[in-house]
Amino acid sequence: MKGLTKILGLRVKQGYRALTSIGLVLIVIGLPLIAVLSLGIFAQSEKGWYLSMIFFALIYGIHFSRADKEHLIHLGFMPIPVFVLEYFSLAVLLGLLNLFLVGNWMNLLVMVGLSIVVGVSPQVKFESVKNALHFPVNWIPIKAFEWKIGFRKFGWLIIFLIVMGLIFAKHSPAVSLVALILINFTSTSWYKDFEAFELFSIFRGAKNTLSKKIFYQVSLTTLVCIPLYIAFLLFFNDLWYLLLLVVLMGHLVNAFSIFYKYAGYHPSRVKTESDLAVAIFCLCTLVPFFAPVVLVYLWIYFFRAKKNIKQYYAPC
Amino acid sequence: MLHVKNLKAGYGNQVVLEDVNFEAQPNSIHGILGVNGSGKTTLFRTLNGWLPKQGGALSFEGEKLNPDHLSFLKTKPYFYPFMKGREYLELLKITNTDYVIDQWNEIFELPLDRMAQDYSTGMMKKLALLGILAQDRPILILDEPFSGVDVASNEKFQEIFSRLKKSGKILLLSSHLLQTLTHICDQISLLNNGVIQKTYEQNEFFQLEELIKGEIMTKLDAQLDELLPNQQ
Repeated sequence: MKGLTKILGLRVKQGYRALTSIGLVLIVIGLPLIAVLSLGIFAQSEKGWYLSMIFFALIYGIHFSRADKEHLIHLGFMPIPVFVLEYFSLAVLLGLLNLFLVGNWMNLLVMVGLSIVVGVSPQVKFESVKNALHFPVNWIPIKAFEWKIGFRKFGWLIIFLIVMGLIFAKHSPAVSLVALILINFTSTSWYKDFEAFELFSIFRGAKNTLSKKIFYQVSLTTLVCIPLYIAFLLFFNDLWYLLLLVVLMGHLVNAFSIFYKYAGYHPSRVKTESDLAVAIFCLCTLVPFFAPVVLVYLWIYFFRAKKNIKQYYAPC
Repeated sequence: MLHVKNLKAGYGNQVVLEDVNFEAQPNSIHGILGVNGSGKTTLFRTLNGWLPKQGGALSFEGEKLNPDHLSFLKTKPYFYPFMKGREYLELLKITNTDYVIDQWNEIFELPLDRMAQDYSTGMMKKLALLGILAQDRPILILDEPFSGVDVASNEKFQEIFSRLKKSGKILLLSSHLLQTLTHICDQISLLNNGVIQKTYEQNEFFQLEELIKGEIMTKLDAQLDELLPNQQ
């Protein structure tokens, strides 16, 4: 019970830190918009299957990037039941909402199933396999070190997504698009670690730091995703505008994670405060209705990043 | 020359450095001596631009001090997760094409193709030192450079610092070991409660040793007399 209180306390603290980092104005504007968006998704998608897809992308992203396993063990918990319980609670919450609004009980079962599958996915084994079979990254320029490290950790996963996307590309336009969305969501997590000040200072200035990071992000994503672009256009060239939207969305999501990283960068810290802001941004980009929120977020965090970087280059 | 004039700095409303003044010449090693909490790390962080100064002026060769003038070796170096030692050095040598990684690594023989996060404390220190050498900046700030390194590496560090001094660099160095400082420094500034009490030249180091030992021993004697009274 004491441990459970600690976990809940920890989650509340994480939530609070995330909310304070986002800013009150965006919370006041953003959260109601997300509520409207959610209702819009239910209304637009047939039987709410879209929600299962978003739910899967969300818990998939959380599960493979979370680093609280050791902390849970320290508190005396077995991590897997905690992971399953957390994803399960989220699945039940969203599934019941979906059941209430659309009446699709199968969706509830699918989400519960997904929560268990993702929760029991062997994170520990995954880590050790990752360490043993680091993806070759010599082809990535050293200045794009986030990509180098990210690909070293998640390269095989990205390749798996590309291969799956190619194999099933002709069956549905959604396959390549979902693979692209997942690749882009995965690469946002590469910007959550802060580099030491000596690495930060090699880009010499705010403008150079942000423009170089975005240049590498856009060019390397394009390079990696070219097979998926070609497959999509080969089978569904009449839907080219959907591909364009997903590509744009991917670049926006990663630009935001770069801005978010540098808006909070401090030489004495090792990580961004929270992943929640990036997660919310990712969700917002999935629905055109939220385009204004996406642009406002990008704008605000671009200036915050620029201001924050500048202070470290200012002469004393 | 590095000028630190009336420097005031701290964290938020908490002032740690009250009025710090000293000068450090090129071709010199300037030691900063102080007890834990005296403000050494705050001073180094402020010089490096990590902490905004609350007052005073910092200049180097007549212009305002900026991050391009400095390299900073932290007490506990931090490396990006899953980054190999070689990648770390490749990034830092971008602005210094003369730096040959393998040639420099012959000194410490680090396993550069392993992840830096898996290095021991001493190995991390050595990698961080190779990193600041790759940056080739005129001022090197070294916060406790000898902590965590073995005896042989300690000697190597001292020799490297001595050569860097001869090559025209300014080295600002802190250590908990007074003897280490007196052995390699040209000047030592005594930092106490956020103020530089005095800067000692080489010929005055004996005064510093007497002062430190005198202060410590007088206090310690009185404390131990009470705690461990002589029974004989």
